[in-house]
Amino acid sequence: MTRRKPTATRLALRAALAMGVVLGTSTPGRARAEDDDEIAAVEAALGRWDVAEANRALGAVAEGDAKQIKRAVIAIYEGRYADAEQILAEAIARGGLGGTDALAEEARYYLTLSRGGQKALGAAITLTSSDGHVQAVFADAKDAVLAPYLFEAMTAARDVLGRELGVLPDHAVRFEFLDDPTKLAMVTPLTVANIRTTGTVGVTKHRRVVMITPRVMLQGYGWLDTAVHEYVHYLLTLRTGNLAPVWLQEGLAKLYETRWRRETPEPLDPAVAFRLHQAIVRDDLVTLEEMYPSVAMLPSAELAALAYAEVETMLALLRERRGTVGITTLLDRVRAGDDAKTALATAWGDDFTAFDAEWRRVTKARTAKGREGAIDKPTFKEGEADPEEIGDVFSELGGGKARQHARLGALLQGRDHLEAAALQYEKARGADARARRDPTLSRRLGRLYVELERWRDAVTLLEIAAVEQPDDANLAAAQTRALLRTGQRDAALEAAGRTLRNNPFVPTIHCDLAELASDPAVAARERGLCRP
Amino acid sequence: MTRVRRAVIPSTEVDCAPPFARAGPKVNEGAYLQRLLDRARWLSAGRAAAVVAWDVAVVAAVIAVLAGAAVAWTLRGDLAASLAPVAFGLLAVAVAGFAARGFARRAGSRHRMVTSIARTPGPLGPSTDAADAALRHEIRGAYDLIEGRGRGGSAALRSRYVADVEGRLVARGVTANAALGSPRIARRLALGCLAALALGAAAQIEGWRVGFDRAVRGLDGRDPLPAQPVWSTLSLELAYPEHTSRPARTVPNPSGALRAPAGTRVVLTLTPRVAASTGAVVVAHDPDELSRGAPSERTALDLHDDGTLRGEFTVRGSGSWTVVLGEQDEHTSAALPMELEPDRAPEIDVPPLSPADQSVRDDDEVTVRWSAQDDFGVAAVELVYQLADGTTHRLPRQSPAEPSRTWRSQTRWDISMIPSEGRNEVLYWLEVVDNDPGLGLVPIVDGPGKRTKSATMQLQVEDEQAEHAQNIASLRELRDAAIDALAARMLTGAFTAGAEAMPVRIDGARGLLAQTEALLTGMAATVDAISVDALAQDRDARTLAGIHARLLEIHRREAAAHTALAPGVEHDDEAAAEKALDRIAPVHGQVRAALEDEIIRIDDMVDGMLLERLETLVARLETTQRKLIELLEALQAGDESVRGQIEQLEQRRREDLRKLAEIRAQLREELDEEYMNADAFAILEQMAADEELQAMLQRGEVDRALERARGELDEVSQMRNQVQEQTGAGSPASPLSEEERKRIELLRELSRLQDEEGSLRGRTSELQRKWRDEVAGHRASPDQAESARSGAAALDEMLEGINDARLGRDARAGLEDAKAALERLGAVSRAEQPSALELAESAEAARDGIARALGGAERREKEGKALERAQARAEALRDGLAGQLPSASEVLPEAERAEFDALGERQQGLRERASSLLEGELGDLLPPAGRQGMRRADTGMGRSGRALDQETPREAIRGQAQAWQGLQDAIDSLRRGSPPPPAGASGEASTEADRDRSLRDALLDAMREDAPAGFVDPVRRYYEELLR
Repeated sequence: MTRRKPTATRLALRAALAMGVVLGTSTPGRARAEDDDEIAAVEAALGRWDVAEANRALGAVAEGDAKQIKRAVIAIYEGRYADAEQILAEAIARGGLGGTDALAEEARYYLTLSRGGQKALGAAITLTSSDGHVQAVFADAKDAVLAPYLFEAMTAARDVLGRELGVLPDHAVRFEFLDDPTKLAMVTPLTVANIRTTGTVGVTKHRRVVMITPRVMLQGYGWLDTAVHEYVHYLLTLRTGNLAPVWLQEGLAKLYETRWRRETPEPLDPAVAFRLHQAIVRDDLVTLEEMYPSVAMLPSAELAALAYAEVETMLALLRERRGTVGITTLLDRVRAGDDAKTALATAWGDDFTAFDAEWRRVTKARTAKGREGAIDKPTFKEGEADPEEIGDVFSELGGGKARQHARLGALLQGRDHLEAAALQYEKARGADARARRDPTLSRRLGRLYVELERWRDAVTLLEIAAVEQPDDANLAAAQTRALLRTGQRDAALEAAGRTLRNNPFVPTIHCDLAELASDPAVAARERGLCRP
Repeated sequence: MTRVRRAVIPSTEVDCAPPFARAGPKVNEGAYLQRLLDRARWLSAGRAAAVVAWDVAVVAAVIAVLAGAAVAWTLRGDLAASLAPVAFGLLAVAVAGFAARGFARRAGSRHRMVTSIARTPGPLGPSTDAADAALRHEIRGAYDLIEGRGRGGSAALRSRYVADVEGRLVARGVTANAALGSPRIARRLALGCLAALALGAAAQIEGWRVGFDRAVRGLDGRDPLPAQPVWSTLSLELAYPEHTSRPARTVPNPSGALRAPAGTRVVLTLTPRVAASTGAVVVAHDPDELSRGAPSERTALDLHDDGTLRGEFTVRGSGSWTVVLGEQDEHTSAALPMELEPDRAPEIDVPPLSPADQSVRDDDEVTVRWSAQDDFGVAAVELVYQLADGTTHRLPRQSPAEPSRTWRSQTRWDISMIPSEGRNEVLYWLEVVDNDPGLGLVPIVDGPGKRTKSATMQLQVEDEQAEHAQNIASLRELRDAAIDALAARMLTGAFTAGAEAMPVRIDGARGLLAQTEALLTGMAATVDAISVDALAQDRDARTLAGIHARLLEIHRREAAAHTALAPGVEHDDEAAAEKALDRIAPVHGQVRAALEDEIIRIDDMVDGMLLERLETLVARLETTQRKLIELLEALQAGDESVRGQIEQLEQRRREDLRKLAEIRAQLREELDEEYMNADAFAILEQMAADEELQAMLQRGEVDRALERARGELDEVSQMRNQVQEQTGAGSPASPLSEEERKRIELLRELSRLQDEEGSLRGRTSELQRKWRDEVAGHRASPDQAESARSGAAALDEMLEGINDARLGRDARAGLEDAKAALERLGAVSRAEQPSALELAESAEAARDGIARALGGAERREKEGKALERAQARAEALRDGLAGQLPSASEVLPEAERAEFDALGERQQGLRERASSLLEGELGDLLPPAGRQGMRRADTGMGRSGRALDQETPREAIRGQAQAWQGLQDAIDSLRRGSPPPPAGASGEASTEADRDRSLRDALLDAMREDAPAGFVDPVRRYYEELLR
């Protein structure tokens, strides 16, 4: 969102007029008389995350509890938690804590938030991108590793999303990285149990993005896409003055979360596509109204996944047919106060029913090849490995020689007989065409070859496995190494990118990046992080 | 060109004419001149006014710039708003004064005007004339003459002169403007531009704009002054709670955090710095989570005669305290931190018993020594032991003679007191209780006193489990040794000519032989151990013995081949050595191939035994969990006495879970080769610890603990009926959504269908039993027996030729079962009067086993094809033998036969109900896996119905089993894909999913309330924002 700067002429005129006002009126009296309006103006500005305007409006408010509280809220929006706490503690003490009025409630809420923010961040370190557009706050200095990758991704995201959505923040966007899921509960309305249950890893609220560092997830997670997803929420809030409903927010966030690194959104997961197809066929879709007040509040993970798929594909269709103009028209209308469905219809150029019919027709055809399967849910992995993974991991190979040799390979590998294991795995692959295409076997043997430094053998196998599990950081790291050693630098860089955006704490990836980097500064940085 | 004329009237300076008037007659001429002078004066006045206006504007701009800058620097908009008008006024007056004075000096009178004109340079007309300078003086001279100044002279001459001057003025076209000359505005313009530039430049600066805005609004932009101490003296008297045994103390003028144990009473005495007769102390406690803000407390201060204010508060948690003074709380101190000095949980250290004492007889007495300590005092120590069935028992509580912070003593434990049925495995620990009365914000559950357990220790009274576990461990070692042997044989170069030097090759070959020999030795010992292991299956020992026998046979051949390798042959006769190796090589290949097969078998044995142990533990865990739920329900109903038992069960559950984890780890951790973020493990541990049942109970979250336990039971035991009862038993106040209600309804209907299918199967089984009773005495003819025997032998031979190492674990078990059934069939057929029923049932079992084996085989490979052939033969054998038995319609009485019809109708009814359910509204809730299950159930019901029509109960039972399992799959899919059950009788949310919904419902309710006009959308967005 941008604001016009007043010209010198206008200011001079204002100065002259103001002098007249100064000479002819009693300012304090008027300011007091306008307090209610000004407080409302502060709240409205905060609702739009327009802190500068909120500050300006607050200037006109007479001193008092209301002003103090708003001042503290602004401090929270600016990330100054300690200031906010001090202001609120005093305000609350003056007003008494037993009060149940809205002001006291608001003060208590923000006091708790400011204390939670300080506790969660502790002795945080703050890094700002070289272009000044992103500010990253890390509760633990170990997570500062993330900063350069975040800044690079956000530079790309700012560039492309600024064009797509027609808005660029005029301030540094604040990302706070917390190192414990319990800390997320201190700064959001979510409880620890909510976070564990839903696997929540990022929240955009109070003009900042709060995320869990991938370091505290067993195998990381798609943290860069998540950061961009939250950034889209951030932009949409600015773009629409916080008027976009949940379905529009989530739909666009899903649609654009990968836009920083690829032109088109990633295809729907086959299991989700299957459910979407079924829902269209049976006319059993989650309605846009049912997505209110939160997609996360739908009764099951399956329905939530279905809802996300619906809104993402709807908005993707709009963008596909009407281009970026369609999206900007939609957002313009929402900002102007139109109902979002009406705005969508306007952007589409017909009524909503026509859009809905076309979307159902197109989506039904596109999801016809979906496969039934379990929905992936981001969860904190706990306890033991999945029982299905215990024992014979090659059960999908059925019976026969392939399975026998694959099992023998696994047993030999478990006893560190790596070469013998590789021979058995090869026997398994030679026994059955299905085994040659099996991603589990390919992954095992591919990683084994990496360990044995048989790079060329590893590359083919890891490619098979990566098709099935593109976001597996360990697999991508192994692929990076193999590709690098076989001289396929571009492909290695692509695999390294997959590793980084899921788990940059895999130590070996930095060693490979140090070799891959063309920029000496980047190479030096990666060498510093390399733990062979 | 105008001629220059000399002045008629000499200049005063030259001719000493007096400068000012003297008495003399005035001339009446000069009206034109006087008008000119008057116009010049008016014009001068106008110019002066313009100058004043210009200067005032410049001054205003300068003041605006300075004021904005000053406020931007000082933030004192209020001060600027007061001072700027004053400064402006003063400067404006000064400007006006200066202008007025200048005007007076230049044009205050006609005389001053003509003087000014005379002194003013420049032309008097539109063009330049050198005579203008003289004319200016002549104007003055003429005016002086008009005014009668100067020396006397002829009046006519004066008049003539004046007229002459006027004439020349007219001729010259002199105007007032020309007479006054051009105004000097350059400097003013420069200053004005400078001021405008300054204003423009300042306007570009955000800080100046803000400052100017503040100045205009008269706002003080500074942050409010930090709270100043509102007291001149302050003292705190700390009265510690009794259990700490600390004397009270006074802290004068404290600074920094107030740190005290919970329950400490703090009496404040302060002398206010400001005039205040009332006040209060406000205590705010830190919250744990944003969504759970703690309330604060406010206590009034009393005014005493000496002018001091006194009040008190009690420390109950960390946070801050603030003093406010005045009627309207006008004076506030800074929020001062308050920290809770923790009352730590007591500790108890129990040295483990010596290894010799860890296994005891039932009449032994064990002495357990311990040392307990606490920061404020130990209250009691108890020894608790838990039996294998989950029950716990406590020895009498021991208390110190007088309160003590450390206590070292011992507990004598009579083992004979332990119930005999639970003596296999006794877990025990000690619990120490401190003297904490629980004065903090969070009350101690089951207080007074915090309770800490020692590490759990184990006492072996009798332990077959350990022996069994040891055997499993031995088997694993055996498997690992076999794997090592296989690896060695795969990579050896001993049998590749030229790969290595002959001595090395010979050594390698001998090493391989020795390795196999060691393997076989270990295997023989393990076979012996498993044979006497009461918990191992007989089949395990037989299988291992078979493996041993097969390997031993090949090993003997290899050993025989090695006889050609006489000691030293590698040095004496390389050709002979090469020849010997060539002879050994084929056997070496056989050993390697055999190992490839046998390793799979041993691995399956290990896994199988571990799985059996796992199943035992899971069953035990299920029992524990059920008991736990019962106790939690009692606790929820208000029975506090069960807390101890819950704790014991929880301990036992943890122990079982630990064992489960061990077994799972033994089964193989597939993720061990992956890189995982180590920090995550620490957090997971912490999170897991947070969620322990005991922690929930200590937080008073009984409902949540109960729901969690129910959920865990669900996971462990898959007891659907239990879950449905719990789900359906919610009180009327339970906040069930429409979807939940439908889901429960669907679960109930599925359960009813399953129960009825089970009942149908039970009744069909009864008919089957009656049919069996009727045909049990039917004997097979010798030909039939012979046919069965030969068929079984042929089938057995086929099965023996199948390499079961290439089958999955279940398939291998099926194959084993088939072989056992065929063995049984052979034995029955050799009996003197073989039972036709036993023959048919054995053939049926053989066929079933082969079908299972086929399910885990690769049909395109040799094994799969062989099994397919075997299955066909087994079916033929079964059909042949079963066909010899009379059918149900032949042997059962009419009443039973009629029941087939009734059962068939029931089956058809159930099928229709299931179909309606699947196609109806409730069926839409079923996930795809559930729908598949329902389709399987439908197939099974159809199969059952057809079999009942044909009065073949065995086939009907198979169909019914398939239907039952299909329904179970549907139930499982519904449970996996849906949210946890709703809140229990308390009405409070007890699971996280319910909490989500509760929050949602509460918000929706709140939203239904009318928002103020114009605020509907903002309120809606607020809720959206809250929930996003």
